[in-house]
Amino acid sequence: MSDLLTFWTPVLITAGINSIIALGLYITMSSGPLSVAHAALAGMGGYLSAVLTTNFGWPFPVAIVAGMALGFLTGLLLGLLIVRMNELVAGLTTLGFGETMVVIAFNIDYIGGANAFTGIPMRTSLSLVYVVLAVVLFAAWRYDHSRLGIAARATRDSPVAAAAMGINIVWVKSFTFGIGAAIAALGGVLRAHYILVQGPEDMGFFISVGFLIFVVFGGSYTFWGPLFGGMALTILPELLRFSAKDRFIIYGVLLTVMVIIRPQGLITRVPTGAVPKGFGRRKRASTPV
Amino acid sequence: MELFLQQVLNGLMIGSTYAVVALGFSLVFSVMRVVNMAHPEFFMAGAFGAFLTITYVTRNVVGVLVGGMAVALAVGLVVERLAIRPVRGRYVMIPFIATSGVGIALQHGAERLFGSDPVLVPPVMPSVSYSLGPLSVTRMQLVTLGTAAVLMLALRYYVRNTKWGRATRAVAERPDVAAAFGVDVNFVSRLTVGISALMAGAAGVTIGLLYTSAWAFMGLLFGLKSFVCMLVAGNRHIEGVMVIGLLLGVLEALVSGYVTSTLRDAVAFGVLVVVLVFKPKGLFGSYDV
Amino acid sequence: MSILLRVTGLQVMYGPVSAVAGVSLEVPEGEIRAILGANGAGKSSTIKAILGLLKARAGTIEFEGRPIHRLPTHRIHRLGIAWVPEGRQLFSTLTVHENLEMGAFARGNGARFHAKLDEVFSLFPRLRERRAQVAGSLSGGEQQMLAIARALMAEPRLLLMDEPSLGLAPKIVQRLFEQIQEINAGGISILMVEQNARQALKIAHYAYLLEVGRLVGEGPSRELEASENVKRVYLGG
Repeated sequence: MSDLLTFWTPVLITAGINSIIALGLYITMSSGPLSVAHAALAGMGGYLSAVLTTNFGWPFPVAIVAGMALGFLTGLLLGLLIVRMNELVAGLTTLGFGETMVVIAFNIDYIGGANAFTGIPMRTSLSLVYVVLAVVLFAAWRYDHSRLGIAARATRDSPVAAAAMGINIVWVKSFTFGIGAAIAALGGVLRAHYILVQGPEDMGFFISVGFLIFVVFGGSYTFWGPLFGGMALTILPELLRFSAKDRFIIYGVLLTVMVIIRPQGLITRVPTGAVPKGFGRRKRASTPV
Repeated sequence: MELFLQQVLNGLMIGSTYAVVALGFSLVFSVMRVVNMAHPEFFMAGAFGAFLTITYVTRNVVGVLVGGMAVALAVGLVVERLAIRPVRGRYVMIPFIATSGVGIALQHGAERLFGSDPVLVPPVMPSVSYSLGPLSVTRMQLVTLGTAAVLMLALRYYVRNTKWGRATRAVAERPDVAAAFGVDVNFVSRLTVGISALMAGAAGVTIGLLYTSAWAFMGLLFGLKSFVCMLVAGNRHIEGVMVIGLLLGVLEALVSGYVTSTLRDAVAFGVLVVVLVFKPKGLFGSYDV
Repeated sequence: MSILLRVTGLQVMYGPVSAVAGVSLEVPEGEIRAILGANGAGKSSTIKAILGLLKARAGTIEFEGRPIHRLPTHRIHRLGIAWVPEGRQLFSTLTVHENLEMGAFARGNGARFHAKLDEVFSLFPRLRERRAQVAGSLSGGEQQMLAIARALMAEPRLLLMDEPSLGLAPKIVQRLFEQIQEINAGGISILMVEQNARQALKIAHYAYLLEVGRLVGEGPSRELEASENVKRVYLGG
């Protein structure tokens, strides 16, 4: 029995962390923009917390807050930057941001450069991850029903109508980006203090796309989606014994197939059976007269 | 002074390949409103195609170019059928995600096939250098520049002066009307992706030969920089993309030579952020998505 | 006289709504027939369905006796049907000459192309002057001429014209409709959708009245012009 636990604990911890970051992405995307910067945001949280605890001896809880604050501020700025862009250019900008962070991390020797930052003290445990996950889920649930959450979805579905209703689009988009980024950073902190190494490769485009697929596959309409996506897509490959390389091939194929067949993801109904409003309909061929 | 000119010359070499890859990407976007995130994999396929051609067929440089471009074309047509044709015309983020998925699957597939380390591409030219006054340039560099120049001129001629080039421009503007005048839009879609794959593949061959290596993930950085070229130039004029590609190559070479080579890769993204803040539609305009 | 185009029981849906509900019409060879009705009546949808740009939920469309409602648009065109779209829809980044070349896309660029080009320029001399200009820079009237010229370059047997008078000044509209008659006299059958019923009835042989996707009347233009009902609803009293 304890053997089973020893094997599954790392998987469950990773699944929990992945779900947390996926939830951060979900919140960011709830106001519209598609972000492939979230791995970088998570990594930034991880780096900051690692440096603060290892080099300066800060207590872990404070480091967590610091990491989240960095995530929030960066997300806020990034959100402000992309607010006037069309979705495509915005997406590509998040891509550029993420890759720039990778390059910067590679080049700063203080945080380890290409050799990554090592020697991080272990602080993450299975129970911590799941307590945090529960808190984040609760926050996501409150968010979905809050004024901000509703405003965010209105902004995503129809920015013009939202603006006409008095919603400050700039503020909504940047703020949700910031919140989502803070949560991603939180995930990154937990990860750094579990794997004990924080390197630049963990911040790149692929990894971000990995989180994207958790949301796209699981469902982008409700917070159950990224939870399901993160859990299923982390645990299943372990169950089926796929190696890391094959995992990405499968992710890639799955992403393509899912987005073509069912872009709203697998989970669109909240377990109580209600269906939240959303977007993603096929474009019509032409308008009638 | 000589260092400066030499750097400019080197920069033009690389810049010309950025331009070629960016043009293919921009072409597919303009004609089909699709962001083909798998485009860098056409570049990578070209390099591996060159490797395979040299290993099994011939060392003749023209043969290697043809072989590499053929492999890239094959990959391109598969991607078009599976991830572009089914989603053409839908909400723009869907092709973005679908092609990202295919791209990741291709990268990791190549990793499976050829290994995670770069593969040696044997040189096919004697390393002869020519001097232009105080500057020197190798034969391979000339081949790179020459191939790029030929491709760019050919594309420009095709788009402006041929029947199918005209039809492609018509489809880019009004696909329904083009179809109503006898243009098979599915064919134009295949044709356009095919051309973009040939161009990216050729660039991949020349870069593979220039750096004597091919690597599953080589498309990523190159591709990202080419995307940046398209974003900075805007997609209204193909000449704009060409110019920006060349300029980026030169700028990188200058930064590398005069400031620090480690920041070279960040130049592109720095420029992107600066330009997009002031001109979200690119320097020369467009992006009607 | 043979029937060039026959539409039977056409039904086109736009989501859950019927844009066209059970419309039947015919265009005999050599005639000008008009579809009249207000905005949203389903006129353009009918044209687009004929072209294969909209899928018919039910009904059949036959051209020269052949069913065409399952064919892709580019093949329908090659059978001899050309389109003058609503709002012109020119290739605005292409020049006037290039637009005309696109019109002849299915026909080739040989000697026949140049002969046809001359014909079209004689009908619309202003286009010859503006030949190298980008289509987006033309005036409204010139754009309409180009849209028609582009369709003529395809040497069609049937011309589908969608609201040719839209956005044009009355004097230009008058001249335009005279030109449309000239085109018809040259042997091309025309199915025209128009909101300007008065002008349309002047040159059409026969017309169909559409309201909210349904056929509510039809007949030779003289009869319709004389009908009190039609006068009230379509001709403004």
